[in-house]
Formats: sequence, structure tokens, C-alpha cells
Amino acid sequence: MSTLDWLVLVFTQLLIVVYGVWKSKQQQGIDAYLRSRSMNWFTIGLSIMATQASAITFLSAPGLAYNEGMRFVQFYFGLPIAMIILSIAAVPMYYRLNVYTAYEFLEQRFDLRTRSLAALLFLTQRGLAAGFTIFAPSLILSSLLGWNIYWTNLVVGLIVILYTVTGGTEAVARTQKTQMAIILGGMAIAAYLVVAMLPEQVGFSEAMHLAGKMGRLEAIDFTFDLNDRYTIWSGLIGGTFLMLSYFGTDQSQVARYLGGQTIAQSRMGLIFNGLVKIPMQFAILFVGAMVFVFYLFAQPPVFFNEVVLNQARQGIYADSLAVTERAFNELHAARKEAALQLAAAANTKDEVAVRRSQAEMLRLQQNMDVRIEEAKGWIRKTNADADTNDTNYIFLRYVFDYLPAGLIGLIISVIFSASMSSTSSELQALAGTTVVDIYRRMIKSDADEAHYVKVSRWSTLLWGLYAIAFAMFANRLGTLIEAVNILGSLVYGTILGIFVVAFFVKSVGAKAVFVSAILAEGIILLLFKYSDVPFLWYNVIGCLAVVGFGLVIQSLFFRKQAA
Amino acid sequence: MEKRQDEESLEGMPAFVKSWRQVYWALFIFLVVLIALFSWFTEAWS
Repeated sequence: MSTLDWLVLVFTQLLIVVYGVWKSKQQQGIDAYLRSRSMNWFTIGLSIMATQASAITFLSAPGLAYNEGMRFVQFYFGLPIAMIILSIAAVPMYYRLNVYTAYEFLEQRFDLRTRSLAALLFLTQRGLAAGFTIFAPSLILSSLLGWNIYWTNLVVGLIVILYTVTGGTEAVARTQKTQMAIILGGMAIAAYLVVAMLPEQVGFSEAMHLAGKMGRLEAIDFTFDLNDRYTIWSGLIGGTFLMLSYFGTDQSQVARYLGGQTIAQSRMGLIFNGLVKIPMQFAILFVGAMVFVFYLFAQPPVFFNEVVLNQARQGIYADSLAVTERAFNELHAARKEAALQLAAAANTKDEVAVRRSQAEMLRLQQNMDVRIEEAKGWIRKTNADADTNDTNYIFLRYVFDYLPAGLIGLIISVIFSASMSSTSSELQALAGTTVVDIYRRMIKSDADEAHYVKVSRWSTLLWGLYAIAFAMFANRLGTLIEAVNILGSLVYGTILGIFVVAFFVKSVGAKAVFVSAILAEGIILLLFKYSDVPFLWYNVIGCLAVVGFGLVIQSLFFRKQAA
Repeated sequence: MEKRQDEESLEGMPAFVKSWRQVYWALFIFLVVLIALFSWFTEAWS
């Protein structure tokens, strides 16, 4: 990285932290520290978006569009529907009960046991996820830039701890506002440059033709196929459930909208998120589609993770890999020729020539994909533990190889900002749940406000250190990354099930839902241990099991207590 | 009573927001329009 890149990176990160802490008032009570109740809908909306969009979102999404087109945007179609349902059902309920955390609601609806169970499940899952939020971008940056991953983890983690501990909810929301501005600004500049850097004879219209004819602008798929991850139906149905559970029961999001000045501000913050999220995701994916067009004319590497590729180039299969790379490069040269012909034909509106060039490009692309798989095979044979998924590296490879000095620093700042904005919300939610649902409820309930603020600060600090420690540990155990995702799915379905019963199945009481949650969790653990069910399905099974068992147990054993 | 609470809770909102029902419908229609636009986009450039 050049000196200018470093200056841009350090300046933008300092600006974010200093502005956030400076604008946040000194909190005297736990209410101000954990909930703030001072934010308008615009700040809430941006804060919600910044919490959801982690660094991986900005690294993965362009890579996904590069490889498969823009169908990933359908994943978010359930979000506006979930925002409407939560604005109608959850927000007024949380406000009426005057809760700090989502789990307090469970005690008022059921009992202390159910509240504690949900809070503990959340703390277990989110505590490790916070470490992963720090670790994932550090891994990619350290791999691409040769940085020490321990120092990267430490610097990102300590900055987040600094402003989250000192400023509380308000600092988190205000820094997220600045972070979103930097993220969106950086991505907009990258989008402009990728089109501006295309060859002279390829304008924006020709770039659209090229991306479209190669399937990279395909945003909607109406086919109903349960095995296909991204269709309009999985987005609308599965996406609605997923977004309901994430925004309605995950404290890292609930804390965002409970920080509203009024119930109206909170609702409008959610609605704003519903309005902006899909177009924003579409724009990020569009950058990936344009990066694909860019690499039609610039030589792409056969594998975008250069560190792993270089290891294979020096390994025992180096000669075989070299043959594969040569064949890949020749295919690229032929594809480039066909792409120029297609661009010229599109310019003159010669449909026959366009179709002919398209068929040729698709044939060459297929052959290139075969060579890519071949290269991954050599990489795997060289190092069986090597990660052969390079989706997260595509966008950054383009940034480092082609963007001018200064902008590379800005894009790294975008990644840092995205990582920190998610982590700060997670730490705040972990601290809030620890203090409100565990410490104040079960350990010390008669202390003054200043005491709880102090405990909240310590709690944020300890969860931050825990997250950093996990991030350090994750580097030594590569498979732990997958383990964290599985761990999340092990508990998320059960938590969602408890909330679904709380909101919509009034006939089920406290004892029935508690036993159901334990049973559901047991089933999930058994499935994990003894079956091949993909772990993403644990969310659905866990939720349905809590609701189903709840109804059966209530009717069989607790009929008299039913509402 | 329900309607009154709904109107009261609009305090601080932009002037063009008349009721929450209107806001929810607007967001839902926005989603439908987005899906139609993306559908056209996919078709137009394929």
C-alpha cells in the first residue's frame, strides 16, 4: 500500500471514531447507555443497515455476481415484508412493555426460565459470531496485503471496543452513520471506475450487453426449485422468515430500533431499511457484474486468492498447474476477441452477429470454467487444507491490481468500517443482554443507575476481548469458521420458535414452551450428531419443532392453564 | 381508539406521511414495482 493509501485509511477511521464519540453525550444511566432513545428514523435506518452489512457482504456480493449473476438480490425480497410485520407487531409490543432487550418480553409473556434460556442461547451464538465478524475480513486483508493477522484483529477489535465502551448506543449509531457514508461513497467510486476503465470501444451500453449476454445481469428467477438457493420464491418465503427472526429476535438489531426517540421514529427506521436495502444490494451486485465485464478485456487470474495460487505454483504440481494456466489464458484471449465482436455488433444493432458472438463467448466461458476447476484440483492436491473458494477475493483483487493510489486505502477503509459497524452492534447487544437479562435480573437487582452503566461498560469490554481472543484462535483452526456457522444454526431456530409462540400462539403457556424449546434443541443436536441434514435447515426445523411441541404439550399436559 | 393512537404516533414524521397503513402499502407496492423492474431488467439484457 502507498503512503497515500495509508493516509486515507487512517484519516477516515479516525474521523469515524472521533466524530462518533464527540457527538455522543455522556450517559448517566443505563437507559441512555443501552437504549439511548434519542435517535431519529434516518439514523436508526442507517444503523440497522450498517449492523446487517458486515465486511463479507461487500467482499462476497460482487464476487457472487462475477461468478453467477445478480440472482442473490432475491435473497432480500422478504425484507420489506418482514419490516412491515415487525412495525405492526413487534415494535409496539417492545415499546409498550418498555424493554431493553427482546428477551425481557419473554418473561412478561412466559416466565424467567424461558427468558434466560433465550438470552443464554443468544449470548452463546452471538459471542462467537462477533469474533468471526472481526476475523473474516482480517483473514482476507492479511492474505492479500501480507499484514500480520493478529495485529489486524487486535487493531480492529480495540477501536470498536474504544468507542462502544465510551459512547454506548448513541456512539454506535452515530459512527455507523459515518461508516455507511464511507462504505456507500467507496462503492460508488469503485462502480464508476470499473466502467471508466473499460476499453475505448466499450461504453456503458456495450458493457450492459456483454454482462447481460453472459448471464451476469440475471436478477430474477421465477422457477420453483427447492434445491436452488436463490429464486423469487425462496427470497419471498424463506427470506421473510429469516429476516423476521434476525430483525425481530436478535438483540443486535432489536437494540437499534429501540433507540428511537418515539415509536414512530423506530417504525420509520425499519421502513427506511425496507426501502433502501434491496436497491443498495442490487448496486453492490451490479459492481460485481461490471468487474466481470472488466475482466473480459483484462487478463483474470485462474484463481483469485493469489497467496494460495502462488503456493500451488511452487508445489509438486507446479508443471500441471502451469499447463492449466496457459490453456486458461489462451481461452481468455479468444473470449476477449469474441467480446469485442459482440460489443461492435451491439453498437450497430446487428442481432445475428450479437447471437453468434454470444454463443462463442458462452462456449469459451464454459471451457474456462473447466480450467478453473482443474486449477482448483491442483491447488487441493498441493494442499488439502487450502480453501478453494475464491469468491471473497475477486473484488479486492481487482481493487489492488487496478485502482489508483488513495482509492485502495478508501476501499480498505470501507471493509474496516463494515466490520466495525457490525461488531459494535454485536458487542453492545451482548453487553445489554448480559447486564439486563442476567446481571440485573438474577445477580444484583437493587443497585443504582451508575453501577449498571459501569457494569455495562465492563461487560462490553470483556465481550470485546472475548471476540478478539476468538478471532485469534480462529486463525489457528481453519475449520472453526464452519463450526461457528453451524453453532449459529444450532440455536437460531429454537429462539425464533420461542418468539413465534410468544407473538402468535397465545394458547401455549410458559411450561409448555420451555419444555418444547429444550426438546427442539435436543432434536437439533441429535440431527447434528447423527444425520446429514444440511445445517441451514436446522433453523426451520428448530422453529417448527418449538411451535409443534408447544401446541401438543400444552393440550396434553397443561390444558387447565391454557389462556 | 386504535385509529387515534395510530395518528398520534405519526408525530415527527415527514408531512407526506398521513397514516401507517399508507406507509405499509407504499412499501409493499415498492417491493412489487422493484420485482417488476428487475424482471424487465433481466429480460431486457439477456
